Amino acid sequence: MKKFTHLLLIFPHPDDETFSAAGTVQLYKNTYQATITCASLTAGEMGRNFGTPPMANRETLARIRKEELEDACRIMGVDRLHHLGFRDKTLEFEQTEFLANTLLDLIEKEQPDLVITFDPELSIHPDHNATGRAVVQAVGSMPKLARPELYTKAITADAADIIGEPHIIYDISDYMPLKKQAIEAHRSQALEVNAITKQKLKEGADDPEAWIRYEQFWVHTFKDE
Amino acid sequence: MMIDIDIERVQAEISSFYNKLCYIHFEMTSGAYAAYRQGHSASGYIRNARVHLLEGKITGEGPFRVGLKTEDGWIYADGLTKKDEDGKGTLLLYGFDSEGKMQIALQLSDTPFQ
Repeated sequence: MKKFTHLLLIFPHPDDETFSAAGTVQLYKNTYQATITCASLTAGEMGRNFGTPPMANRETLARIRKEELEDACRIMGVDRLHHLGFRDKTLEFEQTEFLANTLLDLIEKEQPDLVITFDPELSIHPDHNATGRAVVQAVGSMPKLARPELYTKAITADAADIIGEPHIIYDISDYMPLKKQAIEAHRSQALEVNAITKQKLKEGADDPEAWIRYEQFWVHTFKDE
Repeated sequence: MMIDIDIERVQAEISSFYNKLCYIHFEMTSGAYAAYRQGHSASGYIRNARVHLLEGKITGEGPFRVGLKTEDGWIYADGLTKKDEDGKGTLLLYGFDSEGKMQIALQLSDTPFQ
C-alpha cells in the first residue's frame, strides 16, 4: 500500500464516497494516520429514492442528503467535508472547464497527495463521468511535480475488458461493520443498496457483498506522463 | 410528512392557485441508472417555469390524475399517489413505482423553488 497522508475524495452525490472508498479511508487512517477530505459536488437532490416510507420530498431531499453525508463522514472519520453546491443531474451540462477550475481551486487549497474519483467514461451515471472528466482535467492542468496521484473507480461490468484489471484492490473485510454503518447513514437511499446488489448478482457476482467488500481503483496516467 | 392523497384536500389546494402567477416544478423520471439496468431511460423535468393558472382538477380513484388549465395551455399529470406539506401552501404531489421510487412530481408554489 503506497504511502499517502492526505486523501481527497471527489464525488458527485452523497453516498458515492461511502460505496467507493469507506474502507480505503480506514486503511489510510489506520496505516498512515492520513487526513481525509471529502467533497460532494451536488446534494443528490434529484434522486428518486425518498426512503421507504418517504422521509423526504423533492424540496427537502437536498437538506436531508447533506445531513446524511455529514453523518456518514463522522462515522468514517472524515476530517473535512465540502458541499460544492452544484445541482444534481446538471454536471454534464456545465462547462468542463468551469467544473475543472472549481475542483482545481479545491485541490490547491487542500493539497492532497491522493485524489480519488470516478472513471471519466465507465461510471454509468452522467454525473459520475462528468466528475471524473473534470477531476482528470483539473489534476492534469497542474505542473507534473505538483500533481497529487489520482485513483479512479470504474463501475460498469465490462470495465476490466476496456481498461484492464483494477491496479488496486483492497479487501476491506476488517472494516465491513463500519462501512455498513456509513452506508446506513444514507437513510433515504436504502433502496439503492438493494438495487446495486441485485444488479451485481445479475452481472454474475457470487458474493452479494463483493461490491462493498472489495474497493478497486485504477491509477490514472496523464497523457504527458 | 408524505401522506396518501385526499382528493378533496388536494382539490382545495389546487383552487388556492387560481388566477395567480405561480411557479411549477414538473418531473417524470425512470432514474439515471435505468439506461444501464434496463437498457432504456426516459426522464425530464422543468423547474420554476411560470404559469398563470386558471383552474384545475384532480380526478381518478388513485393513482390520481391532475389537469391544470393555464392562460396559455395545459399541464397534465397521471400516477399521483402521495402528497406532502411544507406549511407554506406549496402543492407537493408525487407518484411512486412498485419499489417505492419516485416516478412523477407535480409541484406548484407562489414563490420560486430553491
